[in-house]
Amino acid sequence: MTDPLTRIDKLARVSRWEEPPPVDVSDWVLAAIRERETAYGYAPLQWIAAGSIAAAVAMTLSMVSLYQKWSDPVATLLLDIFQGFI
Amino acid sequence: MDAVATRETLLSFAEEGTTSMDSDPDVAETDLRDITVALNGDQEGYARLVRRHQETVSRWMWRFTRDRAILEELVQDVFVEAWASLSRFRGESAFRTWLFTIATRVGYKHWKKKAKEVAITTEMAGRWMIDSGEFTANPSEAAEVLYGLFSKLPPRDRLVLTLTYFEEMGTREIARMTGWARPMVKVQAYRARNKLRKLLQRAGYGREKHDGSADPNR
Repeated sequence: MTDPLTRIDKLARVSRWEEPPPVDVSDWVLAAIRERETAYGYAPLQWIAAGSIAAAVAMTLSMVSLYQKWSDPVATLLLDIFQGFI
Repeated sequence: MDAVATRETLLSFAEEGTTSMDSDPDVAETDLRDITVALNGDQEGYARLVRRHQETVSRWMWRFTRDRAILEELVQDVFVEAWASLSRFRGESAFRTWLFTIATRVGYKHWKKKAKEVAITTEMAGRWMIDSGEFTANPSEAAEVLYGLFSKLPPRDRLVLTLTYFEEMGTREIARMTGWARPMVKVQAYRARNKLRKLLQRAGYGREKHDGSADPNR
């Protein structure tokens, strides 16, 4: 009776002497870090830009809805009646 | 640094309660100096750290892939991720220990991403599985066979087996490397070994246990 895992133990013992292929990633890593840093440097400006856009959109929507309300003939009539009472 | 020295370094780093600084105080001190320099904005300090540790990290990541191009990507990912978390490095363990923990996470994530793809069965593993004679392998072939066999299992099992067989780690060391609880590591290791055993038995190894025939490799 042989545990098949004993074969795995033998292979593992041999495999530990393996030499992996050499790699040199230092330049690439530094380039990636610089890129990240640059992206993070612009982050506050991006937030300000996003906030400005959101405010502009909200203002435009409210102006459009206000304009529609004021140019509505029924609203104008009601306003005239109201002013007549005054 | 040779393969066995790297493994021993890993094991010593993984030991509980070890600050790991004592295994190579010069390296640890130089690392701390470069980390401080890097955190103060001088990237050349980090470049020195990368150059100092990329060989051991690549040796470690070689357990997670057999493709040289992917190996480079993984090693790069480890160092970029380490840079992003460098400010959280407290120096409670050696920089290398900390780096290996990140590397293990990066390697495991890589396997999880690949899990949906067809498991790689390397040519060498296939040959070993059908080989009826004594399989004599050089270190690279042996690693290839193990890699091929482990790749047939889910990533969690694969990680436990890789750390157990390639790096001779015990449950305590695996728990430290993976961040899993020790009882979970024990259960995972037990299940993974059983799955591997069944896989090998299906391929004809250790059959005599059931049908009395001889092990084809004996």
